[in-house]
Amino acid sequence: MSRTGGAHPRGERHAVDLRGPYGFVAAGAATSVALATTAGAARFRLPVPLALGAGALVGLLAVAALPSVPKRVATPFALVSGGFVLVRYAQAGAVSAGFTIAWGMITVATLIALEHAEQVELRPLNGNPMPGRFAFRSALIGVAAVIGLSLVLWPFFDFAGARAARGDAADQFSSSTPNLDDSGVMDTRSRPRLTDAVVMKVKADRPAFWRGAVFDSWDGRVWTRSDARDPAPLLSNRDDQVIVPAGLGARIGGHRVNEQTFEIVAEYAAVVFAAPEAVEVESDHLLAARADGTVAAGFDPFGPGARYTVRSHEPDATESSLRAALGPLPFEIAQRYATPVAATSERVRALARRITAHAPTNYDKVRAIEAWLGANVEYSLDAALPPAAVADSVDWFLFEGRAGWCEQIASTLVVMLREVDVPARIATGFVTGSHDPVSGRYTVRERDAHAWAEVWFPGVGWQGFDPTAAVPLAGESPQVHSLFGWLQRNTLLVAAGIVLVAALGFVTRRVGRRLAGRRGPRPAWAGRALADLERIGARAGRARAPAETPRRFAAALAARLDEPALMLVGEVIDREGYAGEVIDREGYAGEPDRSEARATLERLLG
Amino acid sequence: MTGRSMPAPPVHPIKNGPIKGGPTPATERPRAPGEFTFGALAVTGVVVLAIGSAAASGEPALGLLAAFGSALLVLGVIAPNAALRRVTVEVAAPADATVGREISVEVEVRAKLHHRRRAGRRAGPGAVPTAPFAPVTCMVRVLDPASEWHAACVGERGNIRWRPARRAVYESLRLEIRSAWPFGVFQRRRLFVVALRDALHVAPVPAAVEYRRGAAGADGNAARAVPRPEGDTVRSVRPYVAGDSIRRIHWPSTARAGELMTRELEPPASMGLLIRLAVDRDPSVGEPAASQALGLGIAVLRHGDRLVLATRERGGDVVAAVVTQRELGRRLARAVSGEPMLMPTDRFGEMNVTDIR
Repeated sequence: MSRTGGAHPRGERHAVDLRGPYGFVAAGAATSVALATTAGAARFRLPVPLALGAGALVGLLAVAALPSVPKRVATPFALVSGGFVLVRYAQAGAVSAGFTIAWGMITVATLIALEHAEQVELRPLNGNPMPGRFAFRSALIGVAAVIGLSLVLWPFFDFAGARAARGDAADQFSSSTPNLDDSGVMDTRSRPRLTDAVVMKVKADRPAFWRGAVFDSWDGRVWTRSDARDPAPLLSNRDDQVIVPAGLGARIGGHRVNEQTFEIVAEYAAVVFAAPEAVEVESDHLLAARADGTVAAGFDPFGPGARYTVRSHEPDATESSLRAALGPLPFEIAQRYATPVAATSERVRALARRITAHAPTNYDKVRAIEAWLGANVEYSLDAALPPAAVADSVDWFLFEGRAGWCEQIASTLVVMLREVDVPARIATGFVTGSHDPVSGRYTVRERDAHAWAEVWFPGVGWQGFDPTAAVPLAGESPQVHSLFGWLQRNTLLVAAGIVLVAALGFVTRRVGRRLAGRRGPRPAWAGRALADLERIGARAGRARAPAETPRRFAAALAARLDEPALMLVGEVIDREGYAGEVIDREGYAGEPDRSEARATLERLLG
Repeated sequence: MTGRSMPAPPVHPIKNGPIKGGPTPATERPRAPGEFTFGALAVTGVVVLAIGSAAASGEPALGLLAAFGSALLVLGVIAPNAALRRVTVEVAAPADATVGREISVEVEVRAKLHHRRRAGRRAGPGAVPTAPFAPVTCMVRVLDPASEWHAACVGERGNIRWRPARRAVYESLRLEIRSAWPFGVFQRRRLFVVALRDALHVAPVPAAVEYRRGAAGADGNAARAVPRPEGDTVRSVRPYVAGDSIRRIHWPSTARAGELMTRELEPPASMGLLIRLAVDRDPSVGEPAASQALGLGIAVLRHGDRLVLATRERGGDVVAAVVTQRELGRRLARAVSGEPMLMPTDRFGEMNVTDIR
């Protein structure tokens, strides 16, 4: 079937009379953008009237004052700008569901008003202008339908809620993580059931592991603190700032400052998370410090929405500086952190000594044990738990189970390091979390709960090591893992790529049309026929001039080749390709049509 | 006077002939049934961004935003599809038209289901149709060539000004209906080929042709002179009465009768012209010929002369007398390319014959 020609149904009317139906469109767009900009104004410390006014102005200008842009483009552009602003604020947790619904209602009503305005611009079929009540009624129905359907679809897009719900169904105890609590123990014999529920959001100068607690005493099953004293309350100054006293073995050497702002999303958090080592905390909660350098909020735990800022001094160590960190251990460090663990088996000790036999420095010993673990055990959250009768979980993990999660792996590293006189302890907290490039924050979930080892180096202080990173996942294809992981990490990037490609395609199409100076794409048939005609001309030594119409070109070819039928071909291409006529349909016999033209072309092309 | 059909020579085949079978329009599937608008692209961008951000941050408001945009897109696609799916069109056009001159085509955009339901609820004569709460709005135009778009609501009737571009007999018209109702994110289009109750004959534009009565042919047309009857043959003689022209005195009879006798003449025979139109396959040649035939035919009829037109139509050659201008236009609208065989002229009496090609 042929393409029908004619002007585009939507007139390119750019001038707007705001007293007409486009007045509603402009008002709707202005309201929509204004609502979006107001959504997070307070959260981002912008005056609400300023955000409201700026948004309204942008929406109004986009629709009413851009003479070179058709309204059917300018209006969605204004609305989508508001949408992007709303997404930006929603990421910061500044937008409520009710606000989103209000914005959506106005946006839908504006789109309906735009559709109505474009109808009004056309000549009415029955001679009477289309009544505005039709648009009003359509808006009522449309808004109700969209709101209703979006409420039905909402659960499908509630990613965190859905994952949390799945996690809850699997395990009633999975809704919280012990890392949030200041319980004073880390039990390696209980399996964590961690969900995707968001625990906190962190804005930081640099990514880091957010440490909550450290443990140094191992009884073969559970890590506890050897210093069981209650933490000492910290007094804050006028700005709610507290100075964290340096913990045992705290940094002596160079450091980098890392300032982090935590926003707690979980229901409860009794510890202050921070990139080690925290030196200053700004919070309106009552905090207390332990001798190991961690900070607790057990007296006044954090709830949802609580925020605090931590300034940390991170060790500025390198591999070479750690290798060079040699020297005698302070007595207290050696006594508390470098004493071989009593509650472990002889074969664990022997294994530790054998693995580190050829490691000259403490750093090399750490790396040697990490490498051995990477080669001999697997990471699995589904690994078998040691039987109740087993007194040493590390022994069972190394020689029986050979599979476990971060707690077993880090515990094994610490126990084996202590056996070779390297001061080490267990740290618990959360890994960095997923980075949101729009808000610049890290979203930390329950599943990011982690345990790792900290090793003390003379002149450096405590340095974290994550042996779990060196351990391969149990029974998982590396390729699948990497692809899935990449998709998980780059969801926003993929989404932005899709949008970019779509936008580029759209722009290219429009620019192509403008450059070609056509009202629309030439029908495929006419384009192919013209190409064939040009091939015939090339064979005959008569190329088509750039400004030569198909009809003229065909006439010239007909004269040169003595083929009058070619004139019909030019006629068909001209009328179908440029006049927009449909010429292969009814009509009187004898009129040129596609089949005749095609037959002529094929005959001459051989 | 009736035309005589000759054995039909091979004629050019008609492609995609007119739709038969009553007023129910037959539809054909357009190449692209619809297109997304810029609004759809914009909404999709927000949805994709909201989904990505919701997955990354777990914010419920982002999930709602994504759901909202998705609902808008889904309904925006479904609504115009559903609306146009139940639309049917009825068209009425005048029986005669001229190439390039506007005519008024009456169009009614109807909703099949709506009428059916209405009929079920309000059975019986005198049922007054009620307007729907929020009528589906659409745009409608006549194609081949495309007319201006008109805004319409489903259930509405009105007129579209349409200018036929070529000489033809339209037994059906093609119409295009588009709708992006209500959100404007997806524009569904549908083509209808609607059979006309009465065929629309589009005659060529008449050319200005000088017709010289009695002369063989007209300007620019090769003509062959054929014997034409005398218009003043003597029928009888009668006695002279005062007032008779002295030139009409029949002197032989006067001599025999001894009184003045006057010739009584036959009334002059009416003039006639047979136009043999050969439409060239090339419209740039064939259409001016048709226009010339129409112009000449009109001039002949205005002079009160007899007109016989020989053309080739779909079914074969037709040679028939034409007595009205409308009939002449319809004959020419039906003419197809080809040269009609030369017809003997004795059937129509002595006539001049002119060839137009």
